[in-house]
Amino acid sequence: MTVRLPNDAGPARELYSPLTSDFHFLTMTADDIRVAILDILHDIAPDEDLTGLKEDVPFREQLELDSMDFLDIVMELRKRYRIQIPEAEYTELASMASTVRYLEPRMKDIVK
Amino acid sequence: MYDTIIIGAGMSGLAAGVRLAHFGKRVCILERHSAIGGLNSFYKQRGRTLDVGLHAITNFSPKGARTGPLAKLFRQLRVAWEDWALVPQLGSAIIFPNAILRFSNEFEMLESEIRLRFPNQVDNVRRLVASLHDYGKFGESGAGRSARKVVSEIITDPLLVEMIFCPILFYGGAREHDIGFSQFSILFRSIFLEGLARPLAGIQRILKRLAGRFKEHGGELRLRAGVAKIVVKDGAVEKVVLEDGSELEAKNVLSSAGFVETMRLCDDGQPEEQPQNLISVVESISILNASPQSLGYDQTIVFYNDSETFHYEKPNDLLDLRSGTICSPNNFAYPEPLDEGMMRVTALANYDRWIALDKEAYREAKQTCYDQLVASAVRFVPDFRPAVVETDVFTPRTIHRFTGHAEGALYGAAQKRHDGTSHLKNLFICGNDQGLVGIVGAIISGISIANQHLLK
Repeated sequence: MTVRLPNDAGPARELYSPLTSDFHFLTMTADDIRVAILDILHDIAPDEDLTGLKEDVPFREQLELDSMDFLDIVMELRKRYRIQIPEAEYTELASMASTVRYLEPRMKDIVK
Repeated sequence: MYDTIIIGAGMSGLAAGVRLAHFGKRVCILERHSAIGGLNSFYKQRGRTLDVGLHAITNFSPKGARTGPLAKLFRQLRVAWEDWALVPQLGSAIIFPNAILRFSNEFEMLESEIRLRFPNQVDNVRRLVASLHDYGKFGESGAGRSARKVVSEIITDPLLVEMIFCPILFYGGAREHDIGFSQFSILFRSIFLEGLARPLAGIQRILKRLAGRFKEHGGELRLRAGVAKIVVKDGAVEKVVLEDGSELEAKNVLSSAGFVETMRLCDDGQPEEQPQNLISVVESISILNASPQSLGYDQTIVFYNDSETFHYEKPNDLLDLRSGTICSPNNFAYPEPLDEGMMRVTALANYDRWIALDKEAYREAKQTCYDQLVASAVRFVPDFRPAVVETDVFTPRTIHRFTGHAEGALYGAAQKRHDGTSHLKNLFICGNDQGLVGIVGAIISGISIANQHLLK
């Protein structure tokens, strides 16, 4: 049996199993990461229609994001998920596909 | 202990504050005045809300544009197009004796006007446009080369050179006669290649949005909180002392008060710069009982000069009647016409002469200058005087009161600090004195200094 703790129990909305006294975290999947990135992009460019965003085409080409915008994606990730991305690795965030690929191992331990 | 104290709640200070607060920094904005906005503020007079400095916002780009300063600003501040609701200009003109150049937000219009009046300069104008610096080059070495020199080497008709410099200097020249080529490039792009617009609800709406966003993110905004002193210790700001004697500490201080003004606040005896002949203006505001268009005036801005040479300099008299700008806030492509007609006329003014007047003389000078200024303007536009129902005048003294800028300087100090650093490791400068101009420039300045120095 698992008991879902209420949302306001804090950032860790974990599943707690009284039988094993063990925590099973609902961690972020590739799809969750995609949603998180879309949410950040929507905040940065509220007027953009992101429904047709292509996975493999660079954001720079599709949305004309510049270095200031990439810095903002990095800072939003830090603000929302406490992920530190070193400057040398900003290029990994070029497209949705590469971003998800890059973030997946780094966000797998983050609870939703 | 704040992460950053920002001096001044004008466009640049508010924009920097929004960026920093958005990313979780503890920020306090200190504003000496009882209202936010600085030069781009607004005030109430007999029930009307009047903008202080706004003629138009430059750098217009249409909804959906992804490049250019305006798009960059919107993304950085998380602004949706509708938040500003910019309305493009109807069309503007540069009027000299025997020569008129009309321009709009389509550069082709200015090109065709030049083809008509200066047919042998068309290719030269194209070369000038091709040689303009990118925004990215701003502040790089060589950026301060005399624009007069560069432009005169390309455009060989002196009258056309004067006509191009007239709007450029009026909208961004901090010092007399000339400007650095990098700043010239920015202004040329902002005014002629991108264009002019006005927020549907005036400047008030933009300011309130910025301040609202800042507070939503936990920022603290204090009005009537003038800074008396910046206490320096070991090459850094130790604390900020307010005029009421209270003391505040912060890791960093970002000042939009102007470079010279900020140095004066520092208690480590920074050497005073040589006084410069800084540019200030007088502006007359005329409320009309009819729309300017019904009086035959459909231009958005007219830049006028009554001889073939444009003298952009601090005049010896209270104001310079030879040149000026005329703006009607009505003449933008609004979905519905504004309630009231309004004409604003601006001309160069001498701060020292205005500041020397006693109260009675100041009041009289305002009236005399209103009459002279409007009489000078109606040489170039239909005479709107019979329709005037109310007037106001603001002077270099007014600008000084709203901005705190020395000499009532409209565009700040003559020497710009492009990288925003100072002699103290945790004191930074943004706003007019970083060298970007206009509302968009001021906001970009606040954003970029916050990003470069205060968000890391």
